[in-house]
Amino acid sequence: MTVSKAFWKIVLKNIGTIITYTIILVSFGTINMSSGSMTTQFEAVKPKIAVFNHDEEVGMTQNLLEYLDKNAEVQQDYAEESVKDDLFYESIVMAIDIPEGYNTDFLAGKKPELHTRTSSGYAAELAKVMLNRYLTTAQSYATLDLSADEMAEKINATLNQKVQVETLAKVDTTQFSKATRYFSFANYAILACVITIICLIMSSFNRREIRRRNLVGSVELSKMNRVLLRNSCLYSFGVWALYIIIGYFLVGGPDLMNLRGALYAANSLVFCICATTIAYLISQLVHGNNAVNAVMNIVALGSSFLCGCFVPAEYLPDFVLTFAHILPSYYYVAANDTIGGLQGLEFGDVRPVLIDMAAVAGFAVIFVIAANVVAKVKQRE
Amino acid sequence: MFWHSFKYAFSTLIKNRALMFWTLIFPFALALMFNLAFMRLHDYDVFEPFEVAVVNDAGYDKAEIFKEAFKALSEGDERLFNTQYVSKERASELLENEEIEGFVYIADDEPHIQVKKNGSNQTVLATAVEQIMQSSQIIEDIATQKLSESPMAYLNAEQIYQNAVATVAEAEPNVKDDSRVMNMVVIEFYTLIAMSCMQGAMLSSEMIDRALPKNSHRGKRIAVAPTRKSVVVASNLLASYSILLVGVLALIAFMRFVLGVEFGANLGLICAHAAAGSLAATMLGMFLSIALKTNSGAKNIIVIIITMVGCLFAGMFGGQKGWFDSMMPFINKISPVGLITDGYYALYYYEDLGRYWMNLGGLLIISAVFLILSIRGLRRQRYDSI
Amino acid sequence: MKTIIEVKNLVKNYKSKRAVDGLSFDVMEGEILGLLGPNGSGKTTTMNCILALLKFDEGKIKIFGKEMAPDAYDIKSKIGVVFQDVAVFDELTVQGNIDYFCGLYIQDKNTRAEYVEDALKLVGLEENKTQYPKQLSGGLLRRLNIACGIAHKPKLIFLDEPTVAVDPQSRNNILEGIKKLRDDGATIIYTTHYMEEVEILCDRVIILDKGKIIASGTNDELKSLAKIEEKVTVEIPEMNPKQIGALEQIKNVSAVSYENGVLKLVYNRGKNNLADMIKYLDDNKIQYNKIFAERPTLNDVFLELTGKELRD
Repeated sequence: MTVSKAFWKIVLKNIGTIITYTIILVSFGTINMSSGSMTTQFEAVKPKIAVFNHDEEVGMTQNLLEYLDKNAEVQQDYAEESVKDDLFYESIVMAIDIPEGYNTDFLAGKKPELHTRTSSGYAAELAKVMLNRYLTTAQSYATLDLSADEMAEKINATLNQKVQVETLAKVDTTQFSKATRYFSFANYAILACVITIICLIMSSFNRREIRRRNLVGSVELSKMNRVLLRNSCLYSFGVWALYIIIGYFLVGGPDLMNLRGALYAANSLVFCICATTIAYLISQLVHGNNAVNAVMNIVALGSSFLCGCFVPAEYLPDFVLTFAHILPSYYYVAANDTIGGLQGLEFGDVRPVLIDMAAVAGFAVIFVIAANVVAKVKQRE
Repeated sequence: MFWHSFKYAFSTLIKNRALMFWTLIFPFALALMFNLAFMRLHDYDVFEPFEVAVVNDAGYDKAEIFKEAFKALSEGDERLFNTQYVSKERASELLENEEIEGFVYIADDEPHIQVKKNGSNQTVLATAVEQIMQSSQIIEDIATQKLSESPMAYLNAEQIYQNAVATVAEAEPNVKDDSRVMNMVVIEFYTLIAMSCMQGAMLSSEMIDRALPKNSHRGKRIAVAPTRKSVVVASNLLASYSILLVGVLALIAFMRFVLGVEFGANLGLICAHAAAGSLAATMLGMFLSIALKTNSGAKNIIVIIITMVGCLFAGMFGGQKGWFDSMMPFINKISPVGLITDGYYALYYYEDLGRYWMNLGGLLIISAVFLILSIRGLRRQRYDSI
Repeated sequence: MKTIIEVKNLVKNYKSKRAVDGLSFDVMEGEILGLLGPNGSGKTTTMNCILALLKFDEGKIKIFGKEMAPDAYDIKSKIGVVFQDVAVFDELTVQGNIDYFCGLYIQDKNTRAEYVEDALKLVGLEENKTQYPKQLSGGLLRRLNIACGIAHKPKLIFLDEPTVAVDPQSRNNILEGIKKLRDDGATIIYTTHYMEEVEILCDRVIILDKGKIIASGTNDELKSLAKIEEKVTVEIPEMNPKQIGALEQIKNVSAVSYENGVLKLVYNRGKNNLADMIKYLDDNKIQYNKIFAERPTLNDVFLELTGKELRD
């Protein structure tokens, strides 16, 4: 049992690493989930804009202001100095300057010019559409000889026309987007925690093993490897359990105490197992603290970036996603996305998730085989 | 003596694989990943038309304006939609199989949209249909108004109607957009440069450790040699600083010329900022090496914390930098990462250089503070314990 | 003979613990002085104080007749130090390491190249000069460590436990090398807790314990301090207490012990002691196998003076 004891001693010694990646998961996971820049929901959030009105609040000017108030989140008491930075960082997506005399010029048919400054995100595009829709409408009605009140009434009536959108979805899956993001982000934390610790342990035992082999021969060696493998799996299981518990409090709750939640958990468990086999393979290939750290970072960050853990897969270029097919994380993230969007929980609905999970498991088998081949080759040398 | 020491400091440092990996390889790998991941995040110019369907039943046949307008959106190179005209059953089937993003059907003279899930394509479809509805309303209103203006107008009904269509088609929002095309994603790359500069703290603390008897056995050797400590310290610092600066400048060149990250036009200041950022990190590393005892693990942890917290507040991990700025404005004013990032931001985005000079000044002040604190420690010749 | 180092009343405290307690000694030109003592007796601290690495609380230290200070570069240039821990660069070859440290003393490139070669020869690393420290065995690494400290041909050399955990072959090489350095005219201060090395190597020995000198002198002078003159060990399969008691009565015997078939006798003076014992054994028909006779060691001296073993 001394091997097991030594194993957990090393785990305890490196508890800082585990805590670090867990904190990263929790904090950056939360930031990522709460930041609105990624949302592409149909019920679009109102764009945040700033309005600087240099005209009197009458007539058409007033109508424009009211329209903006209704269709955008207009910042109150907003200072001109903040515009530039806020636009860049998308704290606001548009600043509108209404010139002096806008109302009278408009009614006189002079087509007064509005000045805008916009940021470059998706929300800014929405804001532009929103503003342009009003202005074209108003422009069209300006060709008629109408009073300000009549014109405002017509403009508003027209703009109030909305299309009826029927969503086939029975379940509002947007509520699960947080959980999906969390579990996809966990890809990074799982890889980092599992690879770092297991590789550290393996390489420290490998060093000892050389010494020991000279002393007692190879009988104990295979036994030791079995114990190490068993404990590695146990450790990965522990990491998985920890992240499931954190996930429950952070994004889950009672809504996920069902088959959907079980699928998230099963998917990440399969991925944890796969991460263990990756760690096992890496530990056969590289040795030493520094090398392990370098390889771990490249593997964990690389697969997280390329498979849509940090930036949703739908935003990734096609060639990146095509390439990502050779990485297990791709199937893990794909499964998470599918789970998040599941409309039903029948076998037919769940099938694609199971296929992705099988792909991850397949990778695990490949990694184990590869690791054993490497070990055999090294032994012969 | 200086060059003897420098030569060896330089050659041992570039042979240190771990340090060189983090300084010269890792930032490039991250930059490449950032580029792949963020490439499309702010790319709205390349809009790909997507699949939709329109139900071509009796209701659709009656809706003349809708018919025309939707057809216009489905034609040509700048089309929004690849449209199929099918029966309602077929449309539902296509939607169920996710072969289309949604479909439109007309009921009670009103267009309706059916989608399976919500997304950006669905928003585009709904917006387009709404615009068609509103345009037809305007045409309707204008024509009605014109017709009511004179009794004779009915004779010209067709003409009036055509004019109304033309009026709507010609109506252009009179808006002048004064903003430059810009891309928030550049911040990610600027924070990455900052992170890369901060690596300098690891390099310099390693190099100072080597020179100080309290931090390394090699330092004891140097301390008993008839060489001034200042010479060894300065040559070691110069070695780590020059390697760092080459790495950072190469990273910037890689971003600018290979990945196409924008930095603005002022090449001299872009390099100057890298030099100042690297200097601040180098001085920080020296200070940590002098202030703390042997265990270099603790130093690295401090550097990592300063770097990562700095990166968080500078906006590397998403979130809104502006939000951090308003909540805790001082952090980005004292964190080297914040100052480096904001300096590049200012060079890229501000015409006026005032903001840039503030950041550059901040970095130089940090460098000076750590240098002064370090000199006090370096002056110490004998130690209470080693 | 000139005095190279003068240490007067050196006191060094680590917080409340007194590490060096009023040491005074001189080191003469051309001698190998052994500083002998158990771990924690203050050997290394004393050395670091002499080298002006550590602050000390009281005392005066002069080297080559001048007061030692951190910026006494003219003194430092004539000193070579080999620290207890291996202090080399993993990124440099054997030759590169020696050249780097030698370069801190010798500016001229040609002279330095010559000196580096000499140092390689002295420690027997000529064939390893293009290897990196990681490729060297523990013993060879120690030799490199020494070469780095003495390549600049210093007049005064400090060696702090240079043979800890070294294989016998390397140890012999190192000890030979040190003798050669002395023969070439260097003065050497040799710190160790291996008394055997001191006995082979040193002209004069200072024994330290708890920061104090408890004895000093040549090997023979020190050994005369021990009340023991000779130790005899005999393998005897069987003996009864009466016979053991009888042995105690033999002339000059001060102690007798019998354990696990080994009889130990300690004599406090005299010669031809063996004959008396063998006669007794023969007379009483006691069977015996091997007999060893030993002269006292410095460990016995240390045991005598402090009541504890040197190495524990």
